[in-house]
Amino acid sequence: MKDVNSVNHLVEFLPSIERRRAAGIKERNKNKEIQDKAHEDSIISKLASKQDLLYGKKSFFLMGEEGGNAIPQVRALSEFSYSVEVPRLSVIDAVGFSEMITVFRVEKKALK
Amino acid sequence: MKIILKEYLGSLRERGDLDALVLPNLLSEIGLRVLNTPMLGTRQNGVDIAAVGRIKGEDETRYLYLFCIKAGNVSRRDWSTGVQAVRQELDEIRDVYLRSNVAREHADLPVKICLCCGGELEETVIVNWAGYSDRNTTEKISYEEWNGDRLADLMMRCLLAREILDEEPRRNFQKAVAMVNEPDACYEYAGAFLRCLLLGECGSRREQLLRLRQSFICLHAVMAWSVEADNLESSYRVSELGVLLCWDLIRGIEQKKALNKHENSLILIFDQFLRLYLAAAEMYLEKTAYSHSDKLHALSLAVRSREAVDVNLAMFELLGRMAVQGIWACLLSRSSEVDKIGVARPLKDRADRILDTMVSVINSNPTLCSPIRDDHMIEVALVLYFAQLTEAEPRFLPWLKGMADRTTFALISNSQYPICLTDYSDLLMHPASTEQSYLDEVCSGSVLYPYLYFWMQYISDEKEIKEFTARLKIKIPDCTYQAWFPDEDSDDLIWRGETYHGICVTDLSPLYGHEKLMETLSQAFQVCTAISEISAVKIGLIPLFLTACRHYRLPVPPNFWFLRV
Repeated sequence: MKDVNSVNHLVEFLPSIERRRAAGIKERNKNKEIQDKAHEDSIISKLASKQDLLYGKKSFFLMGEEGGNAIPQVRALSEFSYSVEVPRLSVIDAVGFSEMITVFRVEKKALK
Repeated sequence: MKIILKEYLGSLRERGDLDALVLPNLLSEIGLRVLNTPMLGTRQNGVDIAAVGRIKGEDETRYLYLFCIKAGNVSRRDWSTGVQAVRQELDEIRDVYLRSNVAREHADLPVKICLCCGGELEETVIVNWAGYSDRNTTEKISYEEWNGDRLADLMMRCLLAREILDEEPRRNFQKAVAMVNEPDACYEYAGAFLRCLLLGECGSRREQLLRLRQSFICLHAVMAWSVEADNLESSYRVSELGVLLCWDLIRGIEQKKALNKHENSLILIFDQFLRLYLAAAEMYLEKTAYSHSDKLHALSLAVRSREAVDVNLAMFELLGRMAVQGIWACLLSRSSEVDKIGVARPLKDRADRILDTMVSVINSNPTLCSPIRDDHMIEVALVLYFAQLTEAEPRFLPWLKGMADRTTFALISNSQYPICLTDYSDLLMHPASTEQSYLDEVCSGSVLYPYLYFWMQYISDEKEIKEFTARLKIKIPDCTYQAWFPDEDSDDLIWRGETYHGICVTDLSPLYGHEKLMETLSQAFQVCTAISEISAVKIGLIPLFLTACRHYRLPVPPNFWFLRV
């Protein structure tokens, strides 16, 4: 990490604004694809209806009770996420990393 | 505009910037004839620059101007402390220089002794200066203060005035200075003002010199601002462009023993452009490669991008710049002129240092084994050319062999194989598809594979060569393998960035075998002989031609592939 931090001041290799923008658009499109696919394949989305909240951080809804009474409810939204680390080698040595993965895949397990 | 110039002059801290580069050009333009420029290590008796003449719009008679130059501000300490104290130098001018160094034809002229600095005289010194100049002024000798403000005024009046520098280049220069932190934009604006000044029609010799001086001063100002902003990318790129465009303007000079005064002035200015470029390159490499080459992945991570393509492009760019700088150092160290002034050894040491650093950079940044652009052949060929010049090619052959394997592996595994498209958005999406039609489109031609195959004959075994050609045959059977040679139009066009010239030699497919490739090349060598007509090559400035190839993305011609057969 010491070596990695030692180059923090180098600005000479930074991609230009246009390139960063293009990479940003690519990442945004990729994220959208992931979201669409996740929604499409989600079991929950098949069971429940979907409402898109555009504002606020709490949701108001009427909960039906026996006898036809509706009780107002406010529920705070909660967030859950899942993340994985992207291997650094896929960025700094894309082909070498792909070669390594391929070798691991085709290698036979050693017999015990 | 004046504020930009003042800041620029004030920022010139190094010896050599103000006295060797800026001031002689300025003095020549304001009407003086420069008699001598500063030399390191020689006794100057207090005078850094001597000039004679009449300043346009100021002087009514001719004067002998003697300049004592200091970078930045002149402080109390500069005034009286140390061997190079201002006061001591002024005394030397009066007591020694004026008695023994003035040529007979200038002996009767009135003398102006000028204390010149890029910044200003600090408050604590002003009184000393006033007292000194008052006490020593005589009928024949007078004293003047030339601070940053006066220099900027003279520049504005004689070099960059509206009557002699159009509004458009002036605006582009200001934008280039403002954008030094965005190298693409800075390069674009600097390119615009340089092209405007250097590529237009020059009415007279006088105008030609004026334009070169204007360009040089502007370029130097952009560089100084770039160094001040600690972003050396802009300074590298604009100084490289400057030297190429300057060459375009002066390349018509015929080779002869005795050059006339105008031709000498042109050569002198080109020399300044070249020095500026080599200094910018050295500063850039000092900050980047020399300092961090041995740290695993460090330079790759300095790109700070999540896209592999950004890392790949940045590392090949760095490698190409190192190779070009190495080639310059190596060939300059062999020049007899350089040998005379005793800098051959430092240049040779520099070449060796670059060589070692290149090996470290390749070892520490594995992306350099898998070029993503087909035209990265330029960088690979430059590295190998430099390696051959220094007889160090065995140090790079394993890398070349690894590259042949990696690039074709990327092809069969649909990873980031080299493509002939150069648009960033295409590279970013690559590989956009696994379809054969996509492969055919992005690998429709290649200069990289013939080059790699050419070298494989000397470094790989039969099995490796077979595998290499088999992979190409399976994945890109319709690719046009080729090489580029300059033609008779190239010398007129290459320096200004035109790429529509030259001869493309095809039939270099690795699928036809090495003998066929060599035969085609050998016939091409006999027919495509315009390389020897390239102005820079003709006078032995091969590095300049290779710099142009790299800068404008033209493949390195086969004439420079292999030095020893």
